[in-house]
Amino acid sequence: MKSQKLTLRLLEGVLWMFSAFIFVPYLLVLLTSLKNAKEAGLFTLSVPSEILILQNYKIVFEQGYVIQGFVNSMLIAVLSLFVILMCSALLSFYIARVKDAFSSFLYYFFIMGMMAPISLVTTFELLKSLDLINTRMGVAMIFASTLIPFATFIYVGFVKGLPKELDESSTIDGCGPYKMFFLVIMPLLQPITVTAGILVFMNVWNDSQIVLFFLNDNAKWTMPLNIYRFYGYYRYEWNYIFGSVLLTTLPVFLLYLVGQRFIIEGMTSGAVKG
Amino acid sequence: MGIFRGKRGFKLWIIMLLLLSAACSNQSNDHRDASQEVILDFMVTTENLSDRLKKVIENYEAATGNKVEIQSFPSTEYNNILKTKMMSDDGPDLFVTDDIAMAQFANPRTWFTDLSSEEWVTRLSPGGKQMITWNDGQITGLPITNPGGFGLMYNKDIFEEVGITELPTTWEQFLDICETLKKAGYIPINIQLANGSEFGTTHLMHQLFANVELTRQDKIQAFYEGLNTNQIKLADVSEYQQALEQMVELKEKGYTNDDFMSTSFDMTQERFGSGKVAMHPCGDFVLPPMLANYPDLRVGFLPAPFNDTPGAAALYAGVGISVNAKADQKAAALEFISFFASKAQQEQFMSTAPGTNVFADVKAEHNMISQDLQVYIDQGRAFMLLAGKMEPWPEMEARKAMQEMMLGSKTPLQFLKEMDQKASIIAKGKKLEGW
Amino acid sequence: MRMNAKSAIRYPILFIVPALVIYMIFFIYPTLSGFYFSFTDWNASSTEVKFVGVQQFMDVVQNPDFTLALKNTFLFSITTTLGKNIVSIALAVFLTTALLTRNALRAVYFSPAILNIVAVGLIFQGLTNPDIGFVNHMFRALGLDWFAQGWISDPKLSIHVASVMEIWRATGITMAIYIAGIQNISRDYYEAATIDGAPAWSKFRYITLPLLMPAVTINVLLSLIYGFRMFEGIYFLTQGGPGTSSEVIMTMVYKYMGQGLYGYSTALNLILVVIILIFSFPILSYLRKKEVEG
Repeated sequence: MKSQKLTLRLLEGVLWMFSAFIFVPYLLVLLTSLKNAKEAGLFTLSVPSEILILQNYKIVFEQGYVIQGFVNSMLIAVLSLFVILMCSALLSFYIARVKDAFSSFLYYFFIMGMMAPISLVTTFELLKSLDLINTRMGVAMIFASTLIPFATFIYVGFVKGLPKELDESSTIDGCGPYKMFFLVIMPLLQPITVTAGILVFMNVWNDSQIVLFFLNDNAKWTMPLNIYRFYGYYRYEWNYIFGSVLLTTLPVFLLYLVGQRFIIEGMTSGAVKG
Repeated sequence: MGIFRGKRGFKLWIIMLLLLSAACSNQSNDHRDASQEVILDFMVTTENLSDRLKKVIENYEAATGNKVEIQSFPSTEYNNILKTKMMSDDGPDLFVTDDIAMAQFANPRTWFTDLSSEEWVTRLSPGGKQMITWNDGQITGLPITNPGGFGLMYNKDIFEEVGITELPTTWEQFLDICETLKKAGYIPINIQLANGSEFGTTHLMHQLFANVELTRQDKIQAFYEGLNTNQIKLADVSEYQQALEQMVELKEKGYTNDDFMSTSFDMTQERFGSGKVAMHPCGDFVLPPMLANYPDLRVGFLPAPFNDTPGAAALYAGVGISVNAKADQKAAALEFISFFASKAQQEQFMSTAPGTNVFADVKAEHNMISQDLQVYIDQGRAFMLLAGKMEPWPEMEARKAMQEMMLGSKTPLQFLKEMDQKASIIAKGKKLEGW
Repeated sequence: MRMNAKSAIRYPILFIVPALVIYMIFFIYPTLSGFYFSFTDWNASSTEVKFVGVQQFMDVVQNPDFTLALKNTFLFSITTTLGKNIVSIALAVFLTTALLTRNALRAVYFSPAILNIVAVGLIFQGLTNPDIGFVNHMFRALGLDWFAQGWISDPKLSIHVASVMEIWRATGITMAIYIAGIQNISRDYYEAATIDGAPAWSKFRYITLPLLMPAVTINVLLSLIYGFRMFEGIYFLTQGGPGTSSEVIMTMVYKYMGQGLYGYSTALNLILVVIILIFSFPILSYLRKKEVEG
C-alpha cells in the first residue's frame, strides 16, 4: 500500500511539473500585457520593469472597444445559444424516441454537418438575399446551422437515458406531446443543457471567422475580433494584443470555472454512449 | 434552471422567447433613414487611417455639415471584407485601395467611379497625372499616402563615416560598397521577410525589375502587352532573372542580416534607426514612423544598380481613396474628393508628411527620400512598377515565394516559373485574352 | 404524426422542423450550391457564370501548391489525431486515479481549450519566434543551442509547429471524453483484476482500452475531421508560410476566395469534403454497427 501511495504522489508531482507547458504560455500573456512596447516584443518571462497595468489596459479598453465587444459577444452568444439549444433539444428528443429509418437517417444527416466546413461565399450570398448581412440574427442563424449537429450529438445520448415510462405516464395524465416535452422532459434535460450550453457558448464566443465575415460593421465586432485592432502590416503591439487576449478570455474562463463540473459530467452521459 | 418547471416554466419560456425576439428585432443596418443628414460611409485600413487623413475628414465635416462614418479594418482582412460588401451591393461610398495603379488589376473595375472629368484633374502635374492614371485612361483615386518610389534607403551618416563619397553606378561597385560596410561592422543591407512583412523585400525586386524599361526602351509597350497576353513568360525575361540573381548574390556574399526570416517591419525600424544596418529597400512611407522615433536620421535614396548601369527606380502611386460606382451618396462622395483635392487641403495634408504630391499648384516639401527620387524622375529613370503594368501579376504569391528564394529553396528561375503558373490561374479566372 | 407502435405516445414531426429548417437553409443549401459553383468559372469580376465542368478540378490539382497542401492536410490531421489521443488517454488514465489534486489537474489540462484560436496562434507566434521567442530563449539559456530552431520561419518545421499548437490546444477536450469513458467502466472489473494479481499495465491493456473503444472511435473520428478542416489555427500562426510550406487545403480555399476566384475556391472545398467523407465513412459505419449491436 505504501509503495502504491508513493507512486501516486510521484505521479501527481510529475503531472504538476508537466502543467508548466500550460502555465508558461498563460504567464507569458499576463506578463506581456503589463509591459511597455519595447519589453513586450522580447517575449521573456521576466517581471516587467514598469508594471503598466493601468496604462496598458486603459488603451486596450479604449482602442480595443472592450465594452462594446463584450456586449456584442454576449448578445450574439445568448441569441445563438437559445436558438441552438431549443432546436437541438426538440430534434434530439424526436430522434432518440422514434426508432425508424427516417429518424436514423435524420441523425446521420445532421451529424454529417460536422464534416463539411462552412462555404463562406455561398453563405454570404444567401444572407444577402435574405437581407441578413451584418445582422446579429443572421450570424446567429449561421452559428445555429453549424452547431445544432454538435448539440444534437450531445443531447441524443442523454435523452436515450431517460426512461420511456416518463413519456407514457405523462401521456396517460392527459398531456399532449408539447406539454409533455416542455413541462416534463425539458426540466429533466437540465444537466445536459448546461453542458451543451457551456460548450456551445464557448464555441460561439471564441469564433473569429464567421463574425468577421458576416458582420462587417466595426461597431458590431465581438471581443475576439477586437484583437485585430492591435496588429497589422506595420506593427504588432504585443502588450495590447495580449491584454486584449486576456480580457477576451476572462468571461469564458469564469464560465469555465463555474461550469467545469458539468462539462465532464455531461460528457459522461452524452458523447460516450454515442 | 429549476424555475422552469411546470406550467409556470412553460410561461417563462414563452416570455424569454418574446423578450429575445424583441431585443433582436431592431437589426436594421440602414442608418440612412434620417433623411436630412448626409452620412458618407468610408472604409479604410487601420494602417492608413493617419492623423492627417482624420484632419481632412474633420475639416470636410465642418465645412459641409455632412458626416463621415469611418469603418476601419486591419489590412490583412480589409480586402476580403471590401469584396464581400461590394458583392452584396452594400459597399461603402468611399474606400481605399492598396495602390492606385495596382487597383486596376486587383479589384473589379466596375467598383470605381471614373474621376477623370472632375475639375481638379486639370490641376494635376504631368508626372502626377501619369502616376494616378490607369492604363485605360481612367483616374479612379487620389493618394492618401504619398506616391513614391521603391529603391534603397541608405544612412548618410554611415556612408560618410565609412568613406563612401560616390554612389555606385554599377553592380560591381555596389558590391564593393557592401564589402566596405561589412568590414566596418555594419550590416550592409537589411532584408525584411517575416511572415506578413515580406513587402520589405519585394520592393527591391520591383525596383530591379523596373530596369526592363531601360533595356527595352521603345519596345516596352509591346513587351507589357506580351506579358499580359501570355505571349511572353516571366521566366523568359532575362532582366528579371538577372534582378533576382543579384538579390540572391547579396545574401550569399553575406551582405544581409542572418535573421531575415523573422525580421518584421518594426524590427527594421529599430535596426535602421539605431544605425545597425546601412541600407534598406523601401518606399518613403517608412520615413514618418522612423523619423518619429529617430529624428536625427539622415537618409538618402538610391536605386540598386543593374549590371553595368546605375539602375532605374520603380514608382508607385500610393494608397488611394476612390468613389464607389454604386455609392448611395455619390454626389457627396465626389464632393469629398474635390474638397480633399483643393489646394488648401492638399497643402495642409502634406505639411505633416512631406513628399511627392500629384498637383502642380500645391507647394509640398520634399522628404529626404522623395528629394533624391525626384532626380531620377527628372532624368527619366523612374517607371511604374510591374504590378501596375501586368494584369495577372500575383503580388501576394510573389511575397511568399520571395521567402523561399532568399532561403535558397527556390532558384530565381523557379521563382519566375512559379509566378507564371500563379499568374495563369489569375488570368484564366479573369478570362484574359491569350490564356 | 408518428405513432409509436407500442403505445399511443405521439412524437409530432413538428419537433424536428425548427432544427431542420435552419440547417437546410443556412447550411445544406449554401454548401450544395457551393458544390455546384465549383464546376463553374464564377469569380469576382465575371458578369456571367459559365459551366466549366471537371476542367476546374484538373486546374486545381495542377496548382503548384496543391500537392503540398494535400500532403500537409494529411500530415496535420494524422499528427494531431495521434498526439491528441495518445496524450489524452494517458492523461485520462492518470487523472482517474486517487490523486489529491485531481480536479484541479483536470481543470488545468482542459483549460487551453477555452482559448480563442486566434489568441493561441498569436501566443505561439510569440513563443516560437526564432530570435526572441521564449522557446529558443530557454534552449539557449540551457546551453542547448542546437534545439533553437527556426520553427515557424523554417519551411521544414512550420506545419509541425502548427500540429504541436493544435495538440496543445485541444488535448483537454479529448481527455475529458476519455475521462468520462473511464468513469463509465465498472469498478468491478478492476477489482477482479486486482484480486487476480494483475499489474497496472495489464489492467489498462485488457480492461480500460477495450471498454474505451467507443470513445476512441468517436475521438479519432472527430480529431481527424477537425484536423482536415483546420483553418484558423494555421492561418493565424503562419499564414501558410514561410512561402507555401504550411499551406493546407483550407488556407488555399481562403487564399483563392480572397483573390475573387470563387469557383476555384469552392472546388478546393469540395475536394476536401470528399476526402473527409472517404475517411470518415468506414469509421462511421463501424460506429453504426456497434450501435446496432449495443
